[in-house]
Amino acid sequence: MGILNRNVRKFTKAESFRSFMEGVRALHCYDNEADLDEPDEDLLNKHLGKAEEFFRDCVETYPNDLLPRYYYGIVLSTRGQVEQARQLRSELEQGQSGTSSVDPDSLFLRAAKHFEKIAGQVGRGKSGRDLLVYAQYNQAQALAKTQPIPQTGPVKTS
Amino acid sequence: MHHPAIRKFWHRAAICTILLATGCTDKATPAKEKFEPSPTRTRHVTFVQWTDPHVFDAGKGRHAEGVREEELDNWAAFHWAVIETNRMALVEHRDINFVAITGDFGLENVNLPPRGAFAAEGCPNPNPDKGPQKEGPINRIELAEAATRVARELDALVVKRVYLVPGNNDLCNENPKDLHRWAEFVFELQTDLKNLYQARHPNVPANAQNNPNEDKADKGKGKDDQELDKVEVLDLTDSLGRLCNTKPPDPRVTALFPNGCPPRQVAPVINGIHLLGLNSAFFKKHADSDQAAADQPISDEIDRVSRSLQSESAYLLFTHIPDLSDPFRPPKVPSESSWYLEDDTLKKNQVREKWKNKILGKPQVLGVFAGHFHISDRTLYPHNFAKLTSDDTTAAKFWLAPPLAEKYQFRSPPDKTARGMLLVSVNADGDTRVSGEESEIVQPSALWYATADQKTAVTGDEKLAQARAAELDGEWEKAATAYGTVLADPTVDARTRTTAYNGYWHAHKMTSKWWWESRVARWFYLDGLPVLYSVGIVAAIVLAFALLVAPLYVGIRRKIPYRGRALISATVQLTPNAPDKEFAARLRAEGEEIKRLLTQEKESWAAGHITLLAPASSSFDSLVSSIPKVEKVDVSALVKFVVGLLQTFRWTAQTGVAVFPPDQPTVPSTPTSADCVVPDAEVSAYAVLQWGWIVRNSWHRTLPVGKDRAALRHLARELAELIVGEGFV
Repeated sequence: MGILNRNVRKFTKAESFRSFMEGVRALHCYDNEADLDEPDEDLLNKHLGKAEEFFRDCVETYPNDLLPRYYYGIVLSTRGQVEQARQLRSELEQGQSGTSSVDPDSLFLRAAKHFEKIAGQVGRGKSGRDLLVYAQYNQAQALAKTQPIPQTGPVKTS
Repeated sequence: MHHPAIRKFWHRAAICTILLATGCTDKATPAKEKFEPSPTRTRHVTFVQWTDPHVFDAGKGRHAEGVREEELDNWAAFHWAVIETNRMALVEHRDINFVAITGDFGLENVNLPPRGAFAAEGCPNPNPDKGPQKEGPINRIELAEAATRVARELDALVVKRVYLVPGNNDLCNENPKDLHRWAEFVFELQTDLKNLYQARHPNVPANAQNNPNEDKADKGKGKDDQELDKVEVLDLTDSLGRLCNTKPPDPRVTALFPNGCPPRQVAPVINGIHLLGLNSAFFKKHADSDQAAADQPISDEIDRVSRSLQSESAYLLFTHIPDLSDPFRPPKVPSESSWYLEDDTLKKNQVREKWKNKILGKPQVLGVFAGHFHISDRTLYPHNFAKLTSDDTTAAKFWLAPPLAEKYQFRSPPDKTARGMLLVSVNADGDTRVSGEESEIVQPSALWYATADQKTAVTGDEKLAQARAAELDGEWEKAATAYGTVLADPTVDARTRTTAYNGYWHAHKMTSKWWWESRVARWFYLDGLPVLYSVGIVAAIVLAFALLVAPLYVGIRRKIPYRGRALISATVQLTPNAPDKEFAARLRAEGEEIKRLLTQEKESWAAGHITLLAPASSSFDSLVSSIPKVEKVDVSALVKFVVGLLQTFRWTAQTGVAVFPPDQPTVPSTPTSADCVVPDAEVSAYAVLQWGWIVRNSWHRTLPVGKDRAALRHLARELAELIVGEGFV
């Protein structure tokens, strides 16, 4: 149960806001680089990594601040998509099941967990309604992008 | 042959006689120890001396209601004497061996009943001064009634031995031939006391009696005084025995003993000290026609006492009239003794020499206790009358008790009278103390009579107040000392002394408690509470301050919330050539950048709040400066002040920047280059967010300078984010 009527845009300390803004700034750099015709993968990785680092620090230091957690979930989802794409590319190039340094599903699941937590923490008030909807939507998206659980036995029919 | 111990006793007695003669006494100091009875009962007696109650001849020389008033007052003093004596015995636990009453009940104003063939007798003229304005004394009463009244008083005494000697006002016209008056009174008094006791104890045989003649203490019965169960009155002059056994016997006295005269009385002995009575009731000068009749009895009385003295015993002598000149004598009357001995006129000095050499001068006579005087000078009593005699031995051995009666003192306020009694403690070694206390370090003093409702301030009240104040402060040692000072003061009256005594014991008891003897516990007792009070008061002040100021502070912060809109004041240049203007510009630019980023993130609500404003612009300054003066009034300065004041009470970000040059500059500085933001330097900045004088937050950051000026930008961005971020806290 979240804190009732919690102002979702409140930060515990000014330092929390600063970390959040630094993460947003890095995310913008990532977006700007990604919008290029030929983005530099290293720069992309660097900006996304910096964004993840700022948001993670913020979430770990100020766990009650919702916006940094929401953006942390976004960054994890983005990284999950990136890793999933890399895995797919590797499969296409090598014709076999690709391997990735990071399991995309674990990133999606972590992102879904953060979105779920936000949905639990955010109040039902007017100020949190948007964030609640976004968090629930993003949680569903993250879970949807995970690999389906393989069937291990015959399906029983009545 | 003297026993060695006896020889030592006489030696010490002689020494003490000298001490008394020279008035050498210990200096007064506060009493510190409990007034314990002497550890040895041998040769130590304590007694109280009452004198001159004048209850039957009160009102002499008084007018109208004054006559009855004096009678009531004298009886009140007599009641007081009984109660005060009982109080000393019961409350102060003094071991009082006996009460001595040295005459002047005023029996001359009492009617004697018919005895056998003799008709009733009344003194024809007991008050020669009677006149139009001097209706006193009071009406005469019968002897039986007089004895009954006195018996009722004495029956209430807890001290069971009462010894009497007659006074000059107990004989009609001080005539020695009227001694039967006194003897009959003593007889009636003894009979009444026996009857009173018998009425309370019907099962006790009527002839059962104490035997005060017996020196019980000498027989090792230590509690005999307490075991006495009825008051026994004894005439130390043995008037009854002498008048009955003399030749020819007094017919009125023999009429009292139809079965034969009682045996001659033996002088009582208390704790080894013999008590003798000297009948001085007729020692004053008589009219020429009567003097001859008195001379022989005076000589006989002195002979009788002289014969009673034995060389190996110690004696206390009780009499009424002292061998001192009357302090009431008119100024031009030559000083002469109140005793008019026959040889005073014959100049042969036989009787007086006999008195001095065979009685007073004997070392076994420890003291002579008298009364008779009614002077209101308290300093005279009990032993400060050297001016009343030229004889050193007389001055040393006589002790004078103040009268109980109001006689001649009715014009003085209560605290200016000298009425009361003596409490006397006597050691058989001759060290006689007449005082309110038995300690060796206490000066002699009398116990002054005070009515229960006496309200006038008396000596010692101030010290009592000091002692009481010390008590209230819990300073029990100080209280005990103050009370002890009152007790040692010879001029305080009985009421004050009683209060002081009780207070002293209470204080003494408190100082015996364990927590008083423990210094730590005493500190807590004395200072713990004040310290606690102080701590409490300080805590209350701090709490009140916190309760008042904290809400005020919080209230101001709540009432004036910070939403990210602040005025960036002019950046302070902390080091020379620090890029203050550039830093301020970057600060505002970073503020706009934050706004832009939030807008892009669809956080328009947040972005709408963020505004980092520049201070009053130069155009505004120039506009204000252009305001003309109005009659020497600098309006522009006034407007600037008002604007400055208004700007003070809004959210402001005070900033400052400093650049610290590198230890080893990589690029040699040129004289023309003023830029200090060089590689390896350090740029440092602070920001203080405040409203008026209330600081909300402050930050200080330092970054090393790289190859470009990015450090300045990063520092401005970080501080801008913190200043803006405070609006979302």
